[in-house]
Amino acid sequence: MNVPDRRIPGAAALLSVRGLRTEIDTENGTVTAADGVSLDLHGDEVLAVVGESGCGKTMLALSILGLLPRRTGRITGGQVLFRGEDLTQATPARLREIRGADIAMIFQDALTGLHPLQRVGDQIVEMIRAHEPVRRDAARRRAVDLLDLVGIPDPDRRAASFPHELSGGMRQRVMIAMAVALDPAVLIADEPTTALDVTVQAQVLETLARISGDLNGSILLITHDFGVVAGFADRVAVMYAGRLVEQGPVAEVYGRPRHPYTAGLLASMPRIDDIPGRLERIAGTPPSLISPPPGCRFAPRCGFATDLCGELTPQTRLWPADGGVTVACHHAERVGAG
Amino acid sequence: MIGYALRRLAVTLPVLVVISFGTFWAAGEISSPTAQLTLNPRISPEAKQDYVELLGLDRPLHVQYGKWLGNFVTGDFGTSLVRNGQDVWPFVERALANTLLLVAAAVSLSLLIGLAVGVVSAIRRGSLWDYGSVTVSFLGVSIPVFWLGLMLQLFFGLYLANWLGVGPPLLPTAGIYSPGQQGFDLLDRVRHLVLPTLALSLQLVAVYSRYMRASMLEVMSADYIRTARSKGLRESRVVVRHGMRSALVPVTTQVAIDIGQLVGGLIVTERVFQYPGMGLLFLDALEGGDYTILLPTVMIAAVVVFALNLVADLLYGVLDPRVRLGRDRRVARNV
Amino acid sequence: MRCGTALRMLAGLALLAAACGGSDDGGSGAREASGTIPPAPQVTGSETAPTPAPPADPQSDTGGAEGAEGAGGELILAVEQWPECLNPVTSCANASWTLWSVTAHVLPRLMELDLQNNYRASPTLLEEPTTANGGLRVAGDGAFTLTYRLSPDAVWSDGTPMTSNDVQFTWRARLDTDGTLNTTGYELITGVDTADPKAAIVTFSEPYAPWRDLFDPLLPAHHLGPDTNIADRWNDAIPISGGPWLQQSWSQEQHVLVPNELYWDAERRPLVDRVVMVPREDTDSEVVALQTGEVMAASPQPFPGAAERLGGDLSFVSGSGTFIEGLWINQLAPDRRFEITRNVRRALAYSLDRELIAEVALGSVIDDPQVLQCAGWNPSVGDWCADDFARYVQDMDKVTELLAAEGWTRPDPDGLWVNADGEQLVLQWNTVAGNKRREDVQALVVEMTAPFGIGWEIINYDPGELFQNRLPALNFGPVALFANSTSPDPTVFRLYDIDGIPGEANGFGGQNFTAYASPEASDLAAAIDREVDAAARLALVRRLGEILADDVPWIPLYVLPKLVVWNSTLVAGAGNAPSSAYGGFADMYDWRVIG
Repeated sequence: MNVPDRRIPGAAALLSVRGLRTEIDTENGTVTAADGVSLDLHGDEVLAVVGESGCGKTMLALSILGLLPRRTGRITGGQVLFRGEDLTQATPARLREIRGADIAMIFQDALTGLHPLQRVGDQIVEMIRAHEPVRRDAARRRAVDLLDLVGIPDPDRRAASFPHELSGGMRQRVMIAMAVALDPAVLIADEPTTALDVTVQAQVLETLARISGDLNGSILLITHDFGVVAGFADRVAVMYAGRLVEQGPVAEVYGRPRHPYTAGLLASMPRIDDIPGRLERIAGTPPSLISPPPGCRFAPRCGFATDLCGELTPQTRLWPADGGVTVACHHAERVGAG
Repeated sequence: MIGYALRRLAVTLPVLVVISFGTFWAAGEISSPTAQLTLNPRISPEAKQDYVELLGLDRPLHVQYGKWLGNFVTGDFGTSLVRNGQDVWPFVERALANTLLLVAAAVSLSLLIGLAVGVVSAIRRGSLWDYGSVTVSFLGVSIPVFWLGLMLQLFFGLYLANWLGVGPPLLPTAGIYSPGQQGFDLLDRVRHLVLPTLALSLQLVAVYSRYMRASMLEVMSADYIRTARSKGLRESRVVVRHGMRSALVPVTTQVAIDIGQLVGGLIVTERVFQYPGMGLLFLDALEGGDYTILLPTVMIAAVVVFALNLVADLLYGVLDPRVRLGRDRRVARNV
Repeated sequence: MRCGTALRMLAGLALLAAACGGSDDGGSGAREASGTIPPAPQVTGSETAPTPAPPADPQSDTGGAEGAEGAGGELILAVEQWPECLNPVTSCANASWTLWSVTAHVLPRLMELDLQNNYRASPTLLEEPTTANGGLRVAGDGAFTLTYRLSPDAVWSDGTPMTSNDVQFTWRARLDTDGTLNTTGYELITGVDTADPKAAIVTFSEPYAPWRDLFDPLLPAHHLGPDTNIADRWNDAIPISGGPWLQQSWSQEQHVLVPNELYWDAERRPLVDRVVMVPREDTDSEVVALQTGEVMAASPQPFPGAAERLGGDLSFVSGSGTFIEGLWINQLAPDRRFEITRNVRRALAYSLDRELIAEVALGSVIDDPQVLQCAGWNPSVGDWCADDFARYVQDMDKVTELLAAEGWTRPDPDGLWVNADGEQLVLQWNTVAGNKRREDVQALVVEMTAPFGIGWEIINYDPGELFQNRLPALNFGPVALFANSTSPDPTVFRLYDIDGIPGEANGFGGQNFTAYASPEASDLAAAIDREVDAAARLALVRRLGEILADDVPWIPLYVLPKLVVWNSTLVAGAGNAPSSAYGGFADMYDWRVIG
């Protein structure tokens, strides 16, 4: 599954985000939610984008499918290449073809993400029939099969339920079933388990993992939870304040974080063998994305920061050359050595 | 649902009783039935006493009311004092039919236009169209109906015909049939319905479009709309099947509740366009001091308004499966 | 608007709440006897056979006064108040428009008013009963006999001749019908001799001067009888005619009249095929309908701006309505701060510029508003109104003289008069709230009387409160502004009857709302109703007029006009009856549809 040479940045990727810049208007000013973000998603892999809330990772996900808030959000630079086709330049009709069928999305909160007045079976049927000329009853049978596939008991009856009649875990499974209905090449899962109880989280993740294994797709997993990443993703991209700070194979990044933010995140992650009190927190708060500080955005919170960091934005670079990890830090060497 | 309807009815009925008693009392104040008798100097005291006993006017007010209410709910509307003993019901029946037609026409038209305007305003928020519709809505709720009615009459009856250089008015300005018309004529009837419907509709269009716009704006920023778009649905389907479907829930109930607020405009409209409905009957009864017609007219209006409020509540449950009637409605407001 | 309760009183100057909702539309109280000797009846019968064979096509009949040219067609008229029922002797007849739109055109009468409201014999009669022709006799014992000689041509639309039986039936129906509207005069009748079918001999127990108002309408005994209680008849149709028009249909939406083909008076044979009347209760809409040509004519109540709005194709004439408006002075007002003496009333009259008041009140409606100079008679009818009040023009010296004589002083030459008790000369003044004309008059008068040292406290009420609660209890004023109806006949008894001052004795049913207690005036007013000799009656009226002008029980201001409006591109021949007691459409048999 994880073919090494495919993970090399720059190799022909299934989905390639290049220098993406996304702006969102807010009451306080324009936020640059993604500021020159580049990442590659290859076939058959799970890429996790990790970061704190507000770092821009959800806007990144929405930018890919052109689902930014209509009046307030827009892409102001960069490209989103899907199989070489720039989606930022695609016509609305072409985007519609791709949405759902080639790139599907799972949203964070299935209670608000599913239509409250439509039966869940119908919501899946609608997805199928939007892209394939199948009869309603055929589409409905597929919907029931999909519900079965994602582990919903008594799927035939459940298909006739309204979302509010289902538990949170069930709803998220419906979301997953709907997203995978057309066997998309890319599945974007935006915090798919955040709204769920911890025990249910595990079940849903398991389902997602199983489905992704069954299907031939790649997954772009958006999460703030490094714990989820560890068990699930092939590669990880760490996002901070609208920029990717580190990107690479999960094992590499976990084993040897090159960026002080990654290191901080990992250090603050609870582990089974944690000694009480050892848990560290990254001091300070993330900067405003309306008028971010010059230079490295993490510098104000960074223990490694020098004067250079406050002046010059660090370039994203491969370091070490053989690790398959890119990092944007002037002091990656010191962090990596640490 | 049936249990809920019955519970609501149980709450509504006492209110109706209070309203009907108030109406009964007020109608007596406005047009004292005894005044009809005492003012005729030639009616002998014995004859007056006979009338008084016949009408039960010598009894306490609550006894009179009870008698009247009993007759009213059993469909016995009695006879009209002012109309010389003619049965009341045929007048009320005819007026009610005409009014229901007018209201149905106006509400349908207003929904059609108002909802469409509201939806377009919402999805083109901040556009010229949106600002234009806000302005028109503002005018719509501020323009007095009688003035609007008169302007419609002048425009369609006079100016337009003059400007086009054609003789007869484009649309009849009053009544429900052309003078001299005998029997039923659908086209003639519809032509006479146009202007009163328009006069009654402007305000409704304004209100409905505002409701719909607000509701759509709320709905269109909902997560499930983003989900719908992510499914690759056509935008029209996203707007209509996902957006409007939800936005209509609060609007529909609001429309049903608002029917009560139509009453004032209806009376004025019927007067201006000489439309023989409940409003005109009410005015005639009021001016003629005919409490025997005034009472059922007001009561029927009250019953209809209350019935529609009940329908609005029940409709909420039908339209939004999340609402368990009798519990909290606010859940559904945050669609 | 209708004011069902107040309108119920018809005799004399029945107080009509002209103020009901601010409209001043007339009641049917304006149809009583007149003292003028009417011209000899002009029924020649030259064109009509005595026993008429109905013409196959009335429009081909050249007997019409206007000839056949322009004949035919459909006349569409607007009616401002739709009658709620048609029975001509019960409360249905309360509404003026029952008369104006239906009964005046359909039903016959014995004596009638011409278009100038002078009484004369109708085509139903051969001649007016007079002393000279033996038709009018007062016996030595006071019994009063009228012999009505019916026209041999007079016939109901079903072919039945009109007879003395109809006269007798009408008398009984007036008395026997439940809820009969007005029995005045009929109750004095002791019998009707029907021995001669074409001569009804009606005997009264005493002389009854306003007799010309009786038997209007005349009812068909053969159709309605034999039961003389006709309370439940003719509510929604009058299927028989004795007038120029026959009712074809009547509903809440329209009223259709067609010519009565058996009508015998050639001069009133309708020129059009059909008249359709439709309700237009809103004046603005009514004017629009006239402008668009949807209706061809109307008789709207006077409305502000009429003179401006009725231009272009619309022609209009104004006539005197039956309503007069004035300042009614309640001498027993509970809120009076001092006695409202004759000097105070006269001083008030001398402080007013009534020309200006009439101009402000009616100038926007008609060009030349008429100032009313007598207290109870319509100046456009007969010779009753002798302009006795013309002496009251603004006169500071008179005001000073009258008030000083009763101990009023004016400490501040620019301020109010003050009496010996220290009370200022301030009068409470009530009228109908929201009635623009009357409130305009109030504003004008407040300003007008200030230099004369007279002040006002203005409190206005809803029509119901003022006319149904306060007026009958004399709980108003001392000054109130409202309208009162007049009749062509000079009957004013109820206004000045001492026994008619509202109080316990008459169950607060009296109509002497000024509490004017002059035995002389009261007796004169009563005598006027008993004097059947025209010249003697006129002398009595003139004498009463002088007394009223001396005593000033109330201050007459102006006559409210009536309008007839027609679209001159569609109708010809209209507008000749603006003052008719039978309404502006009284002569519509002469109207033609053109264009």
